[in-house]
Amino acid sequence: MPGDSRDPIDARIDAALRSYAEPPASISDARIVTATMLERARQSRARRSFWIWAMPAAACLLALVLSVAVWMFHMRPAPQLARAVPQPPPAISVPRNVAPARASASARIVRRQIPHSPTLPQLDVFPTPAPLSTQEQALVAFARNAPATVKQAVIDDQLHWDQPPSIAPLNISPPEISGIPSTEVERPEKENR
Amino acid sequence: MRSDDEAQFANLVERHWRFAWKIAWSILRNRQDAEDAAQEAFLKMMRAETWRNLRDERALVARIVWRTAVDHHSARRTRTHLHADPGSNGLSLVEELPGNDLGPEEMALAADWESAIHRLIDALPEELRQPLALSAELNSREIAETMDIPEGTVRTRLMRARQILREKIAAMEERQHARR
Repeated sequence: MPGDSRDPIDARIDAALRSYAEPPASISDARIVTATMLERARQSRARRSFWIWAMPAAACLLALVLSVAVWMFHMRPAPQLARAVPQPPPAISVPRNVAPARASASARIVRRQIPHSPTLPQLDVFPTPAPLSTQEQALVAFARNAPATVKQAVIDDQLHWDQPPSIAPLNISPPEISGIPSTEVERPEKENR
Repeated sequence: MRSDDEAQFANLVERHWRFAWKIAWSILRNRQDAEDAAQEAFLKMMRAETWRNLRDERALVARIVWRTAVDHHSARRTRTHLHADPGSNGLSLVEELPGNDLGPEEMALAADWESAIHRLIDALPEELRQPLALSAELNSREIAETMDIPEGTVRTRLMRARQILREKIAAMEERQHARR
């Protein structure tokens, strides 16, 4: 770079740089600025001292509330099992065919699949297993041992449960005692009355 | 803060107020913003109590004021969405500087060389303008400490900034001579 042509330009640049960031006369006086800052600092200190006390107090209060809440949660009575465990839906009997006569024969008990929920706690078996009652034992024995015709008759009878039973009229003939007509047998009782 | 501490701090502010304002203005280029940034920097010093027993008051003031001003500048740029991309070498904005095609008003301004050069400096990319503006108050080492960049980088940027200014001023001078 030619030094002769550069020097005056550099001198101009230096002079411009010196005045480039020269504060104008209108900038605030340093003493006023200082007074303002000190006042702001005092206010800030006052606020800070408030928070120095307020924050630990608030933290203690929060801790107290939380501990009381936790204590109350633990002291709460355990919920009833029946409430906690969702009841399984009742078994639904679904006939496969539309025809009612065959539906009864081929009726199957279909248990709805209960989705296993891994979040539920493992509970005891409900209902509690118990030995069969005498009636249940008799029913099992009937189902095993009775002939097919009898079973079918029972099933047919169950199908017509809503119809009035057809009972044949009883026809009881009065007993005959030798030598005495049947009408005479009951006479002494009537006379006694 | 005790009263004698307050007096000491007031002395510190009075000693470096204009210097702090210059540092802040070299970043922000706005009188009120520069005042605010300088004031905030002194407040930071007071709160942190870093102003006691300083070895180099001037360097510390420059560093804190510069950082505060840069924060202000970033916030202002975010507010006004002035994201000018100066390009890789910072010459794209310089191409638009006054002096390439001067009108009557620009010629009148160019007559006042200092104002013209100020405008040229203002139009420099920030990475070049900031060290150049600080060079009026600080040497290369102090600028490097203030901006937290290597001293060699500062020197390179100063050279590039001055080179651009020289070219533009030379072009302006040639145009003035040609019109006479």
